[in-house]
Amino acid sequence: MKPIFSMAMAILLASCTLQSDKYQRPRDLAPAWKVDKLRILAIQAQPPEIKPGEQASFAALLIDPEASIETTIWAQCSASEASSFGCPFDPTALDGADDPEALAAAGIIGIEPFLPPVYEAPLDILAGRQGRDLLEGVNVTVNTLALPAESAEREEFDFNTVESAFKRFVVSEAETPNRNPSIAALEVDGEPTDPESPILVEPGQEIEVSPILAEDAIETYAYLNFDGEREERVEEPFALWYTSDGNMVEDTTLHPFLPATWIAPSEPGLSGTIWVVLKDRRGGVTWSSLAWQTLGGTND
Amino acid sequence: MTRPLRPLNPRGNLSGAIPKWSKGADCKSAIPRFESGWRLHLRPRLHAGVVLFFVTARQIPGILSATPLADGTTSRYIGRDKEGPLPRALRYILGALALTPFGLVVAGSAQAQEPVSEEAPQVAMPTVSSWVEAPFPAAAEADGVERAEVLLRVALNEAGLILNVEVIEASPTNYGFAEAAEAAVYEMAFTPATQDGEPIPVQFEFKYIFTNTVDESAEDEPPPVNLMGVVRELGTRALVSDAIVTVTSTNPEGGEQTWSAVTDQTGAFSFSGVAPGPASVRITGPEHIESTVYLDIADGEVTEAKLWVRKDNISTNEVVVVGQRERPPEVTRRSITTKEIRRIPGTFGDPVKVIQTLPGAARSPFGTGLLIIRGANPEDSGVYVDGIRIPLIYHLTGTTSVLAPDLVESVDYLPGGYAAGYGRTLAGTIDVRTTSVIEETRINAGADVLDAQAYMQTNVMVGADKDKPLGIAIGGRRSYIDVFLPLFLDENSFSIKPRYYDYQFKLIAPTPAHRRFSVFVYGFDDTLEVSTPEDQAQGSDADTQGNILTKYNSHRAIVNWEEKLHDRWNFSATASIGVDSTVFGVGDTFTFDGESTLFQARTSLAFEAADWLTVTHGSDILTGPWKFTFRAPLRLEDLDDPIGERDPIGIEGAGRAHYPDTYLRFDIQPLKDKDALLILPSIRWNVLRFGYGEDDKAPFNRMSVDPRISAVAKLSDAVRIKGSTGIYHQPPQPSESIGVGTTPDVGYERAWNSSVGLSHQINDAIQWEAELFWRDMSRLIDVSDDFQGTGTQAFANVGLGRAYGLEVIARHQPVGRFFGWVSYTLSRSERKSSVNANWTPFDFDQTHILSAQAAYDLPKDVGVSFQVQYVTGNPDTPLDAGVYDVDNGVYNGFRAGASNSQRVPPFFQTSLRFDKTFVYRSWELATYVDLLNVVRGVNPEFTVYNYDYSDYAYVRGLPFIPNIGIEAKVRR
Repeated sequence: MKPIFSMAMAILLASCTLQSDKYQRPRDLAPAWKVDKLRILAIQAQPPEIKPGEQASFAALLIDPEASIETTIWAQCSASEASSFGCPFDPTALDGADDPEALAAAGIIGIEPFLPPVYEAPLDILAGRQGRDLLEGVNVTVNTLALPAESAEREEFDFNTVESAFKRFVVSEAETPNRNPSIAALEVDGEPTDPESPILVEPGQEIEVSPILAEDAIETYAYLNFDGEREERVEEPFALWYTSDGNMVEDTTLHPFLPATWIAPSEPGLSGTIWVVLKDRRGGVTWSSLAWQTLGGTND
Repeated sequence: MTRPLRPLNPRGNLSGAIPKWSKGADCKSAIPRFESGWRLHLRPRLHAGVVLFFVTARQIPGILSATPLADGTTSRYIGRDKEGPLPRALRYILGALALTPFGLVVAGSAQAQEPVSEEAPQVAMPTVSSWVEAPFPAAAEADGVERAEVLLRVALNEAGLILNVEVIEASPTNYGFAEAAEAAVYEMAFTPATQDGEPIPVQFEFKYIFTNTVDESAEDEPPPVNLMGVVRELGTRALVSDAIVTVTSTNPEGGEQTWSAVTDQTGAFSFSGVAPGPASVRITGPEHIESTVYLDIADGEVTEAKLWVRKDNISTNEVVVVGQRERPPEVTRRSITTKEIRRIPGTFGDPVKVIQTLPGAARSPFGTGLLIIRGANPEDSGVYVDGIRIPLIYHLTGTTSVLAPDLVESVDYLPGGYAAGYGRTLAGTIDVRTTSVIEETRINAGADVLDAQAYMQTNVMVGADKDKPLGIAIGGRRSYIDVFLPLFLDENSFSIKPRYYDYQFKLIAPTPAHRRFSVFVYGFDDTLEVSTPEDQAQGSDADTQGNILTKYNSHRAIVNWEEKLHDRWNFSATASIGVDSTVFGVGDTFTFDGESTLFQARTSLAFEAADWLTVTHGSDILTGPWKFTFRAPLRLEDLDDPIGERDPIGIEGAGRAHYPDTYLRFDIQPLKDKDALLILPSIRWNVLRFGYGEDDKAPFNRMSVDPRISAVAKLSDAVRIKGSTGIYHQPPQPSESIGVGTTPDVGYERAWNSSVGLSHQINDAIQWEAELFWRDMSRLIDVSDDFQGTGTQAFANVGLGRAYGLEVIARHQPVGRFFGWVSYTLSRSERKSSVNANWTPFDFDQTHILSAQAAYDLPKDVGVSFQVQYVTGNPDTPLDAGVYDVDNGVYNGFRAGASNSQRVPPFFQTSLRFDKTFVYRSWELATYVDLLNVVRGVNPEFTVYNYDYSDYAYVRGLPFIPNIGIEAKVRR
């Protein structure tokens, strides 16, 4: 048996990967649900669908653990101008930050905290469109750049330090323009939570977090399909889940299975947040958060 | 003393029991064999004389020696490994053959237990075709001399005529023994010696032994046969000819007596006069392990015995496929044997997968078997089965091909430079030929970690002519991953269920020699299903929830007819009909269902216009209807609008494709030595007609012409040079031929392929080959910059490509216990999307591809083999931190460098295989352990980034996979 055992051991030892630790494995990469650095998790247009001549304001769910963000710039462009990176943006346009017309010419619609982002749809934005195309409308893209202090002075942005995101919203003559969904409350394991105070969990405890939607959160709306037939459609929202620590077992949940499972970190005395972003697939979005603390340590 | 030369009867005088040397086709060439049908009756004592026949043959480092047995009646072989080291000089002594003039004693029991060195040329030594007895000098007999020896040197010319006979020494020197022996030898006749089949002059030493020990009983009638039987091989039950059967028994006086016989071609032997009682029987087959059995010889009866011998290494039973079927010559054709194929670890014994170890073939990701040959796209190479192009050769798992390995007779790999008989491809061609001859009845059943398979072949007598049976082969395989995988997975998580099966059925009709006719039916069905629990999201898109399903199945019948119409006319025709269908679906809303029925026909009519010229006209026709149904939850135009309303679409398409190609080929061998120069000019006319709808309207027609020429010249017996250049056109892929709301405007892709190479056959076993290649590609079909959705051209012939490199292979053929090869490819392959774009490395550009594999047969049917592969990492496009698309929920990474401007780390893997065959009387049990990727590098296949492209990792290649398999083989 000894030679066989030795041979088996030799094979087992040999059946390994050379320089196995030299490169990361996919499982070693940080998951999208873990928010441990500057992130933009969502952008909300309020309202998410407007008519020509109407205004929409914008807000971002910006997570900034280091509190490094000094400025947030908002820009807009048409769908044809946008690329897979959003709107083209010239940083030198910020040199004329005190000139609203120059900013508007550069497509800049807001510089927070100084200028809240607001977009007004031109009256002629739907010119030339008729019938179904008029009801469908056009997309407008809105970009946001969260700039740390050291980035604001640069002519080119390093996107390893600048966080940028973009979203589309609709300008149309729709009969039932879209509205953002709303989350009435969050439940943990079926129990309502107090939004003013964190939930307390045991280290490593597994909980189920459920977003309780407002009554009118899921809209029924009219739609003229490609064949010109009128349809009544019902929204099918989904939720994206994030946390600052612990383990999000599901990072995406679909209606009607919206609850998600979260496992608390194993260390006692930690605190953090769970975020849920709810989207209606039509551009409408809302979010909510839940603060948590693990028992033990200094939190007892 | 000189004697006049006289012509020899080339057939010699075969009367009496004069053994002949015969030259075999392989390493057994030095084994003395006997004419068929001989049964050799041995007597314990000599009547007249024994000649020991030593031949000097420096070309053959054989290790045969001759020593009389104890009773002086026979001689035996002394093996290098069996009897200890021999002087080097003895290695240059070939042959031990004892001859008797009256058919009494055969002492040439020499047997090559060690194959002749593969490094030597094949030399066949002269044989005594007419024996002349020298008279025993009366004076010596009167003086009581019982034995004398005369050593002579004999010189023969190429025709086998005796040039000179010279006495070297004689003992005793008086009485006239020398003169008598010399005179007798001058009267003898010899067959000429040959080297590699060519007659050569030779000089050898010849010892003539006089004995005067007269066997009194020789004058009597020989005693009746009282021991007879046959010798069979364990496992295969094959009858063993040329086996030495030696019987030793105790005579009534208490002494030991030995009889020897050699089995005839039916494996039969017989003895007469064996003393009754216990006897030991030693059997030594020509390639077998010596074995001994004990028999009780009955008194006054004939004892019949079935004796079994075991092959020295059972793996040599594998059929060698090279050259089993005559095929048109090609300049670069690399063929491999089933023995080699089935022993290479990592190939799952699959004949087609071994191609990826040959030069010119790039490594495919995850071992999926994509054919990436000489820097071309996978779809640029074609696979044929019995001359019929097939759409898919591998199962979806990529581990095995869709044909039973036992049914594959040969696999030819043509990386480029082939003649116009093959077409519609820019790059390489794989030609898989199924078995054309059923040589034996065989049943195989096997299983490994992936699947179980069974195969049976047999011949059935359908008429009175036993030489013309109906050959039948049936095979099938079914995977069981889908059965066992769920047992190891959590039922609440994703589950993957790959499943495949295939079947084959072949009939080989009984036909006269000038005709061949066969029918081959095969098919396969593959399903890969990834299922998701209902309450688990599979991404955020509502329309792509549910199971992912991929199905592919194919069923095809091929009829082949070959006819030799006349001495100078040969005709062949192959026709097939096949149905291929593909299903792909994500959830309930996204499905593609395509089906095509393809008729293919190939004909060739070859006319030998002159000794130096053969003209072949051929047709290669592919035609048939296609149809598909595509359903998606959104229109193509809405793909880039994640918040837009979706309108589901359903597209149904149908049409007809016709490819009636023809070709003309000239085989020119202008020199007297036909092998000295072969020139192959050929031309192919490609025609494409693509129609839509049931009424075949709005077709588009394309034509192209492929002129090609290749040549191979023999610089010496061992060295050949070769070269080729030619144009190759490839029609658009089906998906590129279907317009999106418009008639497509695409045509043939084009490649100009050239190569020049050198091959050197160092000896029978070792050869090497080097080839430089260049491929210039143009009109490559790429996505059109003008594509704006429905109604615009989706594809256009705008791309360019080039590939060039050096291929080297050094190969040790399966001679003896070892085989293996090392292949190396140094290459560069680039693309550009338009004339004005920059050259960028091809996605599978692999600068260095090194592959080494070898196997060694250990004693007791144990084998060990390995494979090592090193390949440069694939090109990769670097990406960096991206911008978050909130509506799609993904980041889009910035390109941080030019397309394919960096490479992933190199690929390295080593696999081992151990196999052991257990041999029983009528069957074998082959067992093996494949340790795939037992030592490996990181082996990145793809780069994956984290959610925001700020970090990356590699998806690694296949892990360590221990594959255990068994296969039972029954032969009749």
